[in-house]
Amino acid sequence: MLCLNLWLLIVGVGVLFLLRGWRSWAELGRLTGFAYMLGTAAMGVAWVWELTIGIDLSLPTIFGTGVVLVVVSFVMGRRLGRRLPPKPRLWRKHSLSLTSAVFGAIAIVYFEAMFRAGRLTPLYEFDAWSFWVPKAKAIYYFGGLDHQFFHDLPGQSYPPLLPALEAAAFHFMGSPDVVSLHLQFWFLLIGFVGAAIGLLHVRVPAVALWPPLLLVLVTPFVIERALQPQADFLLDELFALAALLVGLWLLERAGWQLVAAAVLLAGAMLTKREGYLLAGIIIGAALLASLRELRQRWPLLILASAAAVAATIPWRVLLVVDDLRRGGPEAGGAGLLSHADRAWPSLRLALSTLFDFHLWLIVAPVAFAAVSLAFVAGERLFATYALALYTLGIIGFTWITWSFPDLPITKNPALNPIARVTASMILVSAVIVPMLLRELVGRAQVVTV
Amino acid sequence: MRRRFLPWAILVIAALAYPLAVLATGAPRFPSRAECVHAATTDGSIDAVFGRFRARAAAEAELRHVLSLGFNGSEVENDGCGLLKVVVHGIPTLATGRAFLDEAARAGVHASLEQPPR
Repeated sequence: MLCLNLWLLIVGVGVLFLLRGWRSWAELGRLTGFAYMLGTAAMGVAWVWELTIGIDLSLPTIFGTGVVLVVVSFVMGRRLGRRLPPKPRLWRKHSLSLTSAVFGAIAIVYFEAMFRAGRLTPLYEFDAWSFWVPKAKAIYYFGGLDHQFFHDLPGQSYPPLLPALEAAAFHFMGSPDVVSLHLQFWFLLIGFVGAAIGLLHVRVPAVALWPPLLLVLVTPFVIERALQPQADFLLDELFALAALLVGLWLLERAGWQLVAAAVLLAGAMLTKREGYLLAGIIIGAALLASLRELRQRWPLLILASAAAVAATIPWRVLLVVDDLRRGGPEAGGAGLLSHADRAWPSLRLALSTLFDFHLWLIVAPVAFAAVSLAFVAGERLFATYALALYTLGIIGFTWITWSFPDLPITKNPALNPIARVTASMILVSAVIVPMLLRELVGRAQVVTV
Repeated sequence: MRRRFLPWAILVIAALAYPLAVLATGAPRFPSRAECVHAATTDGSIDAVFGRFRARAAAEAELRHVLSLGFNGSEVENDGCGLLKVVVHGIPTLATGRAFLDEAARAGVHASLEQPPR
């Protein structure tokens, strides 16, 4: 499994070279987590395309797809003028602040403990053994998307990015080991945290970066569910990083940030159908935040979101061709009006879930306080974006409960997915709150685009 | 110099401290396959086990053998510890079980009485 994740990292480094390159090897080291998440999204999207057109997912496919992505990225990157930096000097001094070291030490112990818990966790989670892992096993054993099997399983409208990733993990483990599979999600969690630190480290002082991130990591929901072999956390991780990149793009206008966000959003939409809603929330928030620059910003945002949606078209076509459920809301558009009595309870449920101390401790109050402080400190653009993100999130999660009349108004995760989708807003807080606080505590010394 | 190395030292110490603290009480102990076998000591639902096998083919060969000797109700099942066992379930008492073992010995096969896994 370590080899699979190294391979995803190598592919991600290739994609990173195409998108932005790096000016020093230390900078590449800082962006390792980000490259890994990019590689996971890019490979995941490619695997879904391959499965959709009938190419089996085997070890040669996994390596071949990665080689193609790396070579194409490298060649195109060279044409765009990207160059590798000079060879790194060994024993070069790399400074690390005492604050970063203390918080980093906490993170290391956290991940060691998570590893210890994850390496012997049985497959108890209902959705995981009900359809996510069976789909992965089907891909592992049969190579592709067995029509009958995928038709008869629950969750047939969910795209196969995660089952493909799990099947790839099975190939690298040599067997469908559903216990060790939990460690794949440990790698993803490390990748997410590494990406967040890598992107924020040069923009936000350590004292504003680490506490919100660690607060999210120690929430009961994250500890309990981050390593479950189902799609929710991968979706949330891709969503949170895409949200951060779009926010950075609003501030810094670097094109690679928007392109990378599109890659991650394509991955998110092919991870779970809720990815469309979450992508809509990010793009909607960015459109609202950039109203004053409508002419310059909106076409690029719309183009990026269209490209991300286009990446999901092959899967949507397969749903139609194979006569699988498409997973739209039960109530539909106009149907919402006939269930208008669910609107207020759904909103109340969305809000009470977001602020539930037993799930997320004080993450949401901290996030809203950070938005207020950012407005006060003059970070208006990013604060507007963050506020729009949370507001649209609450509206979106209200819509989920409202538009599926069969869902009871409850936080019970077995009956209503509200807690699982709200986790996306919590993970977003881990990367958005540091940016909101940076004016308050002073920006990082070096700001690198 | 000390200031430069201190942060890195903190990271290294943290990385080592947790595993060392966990291992201080000894390495994790995993049950052996032998611990899957619990000899029957009280009356109740007792299993008579004709043997444990790694390969399904060997287990099924033994099953055919004991069935041919008249031990009906024998079956092959996973013992939960990575082996297959040929077993007869539902022997009510230790006395009945001992009679069953005698009958098996007279037929030329070895069996043992076990508590079924809970």
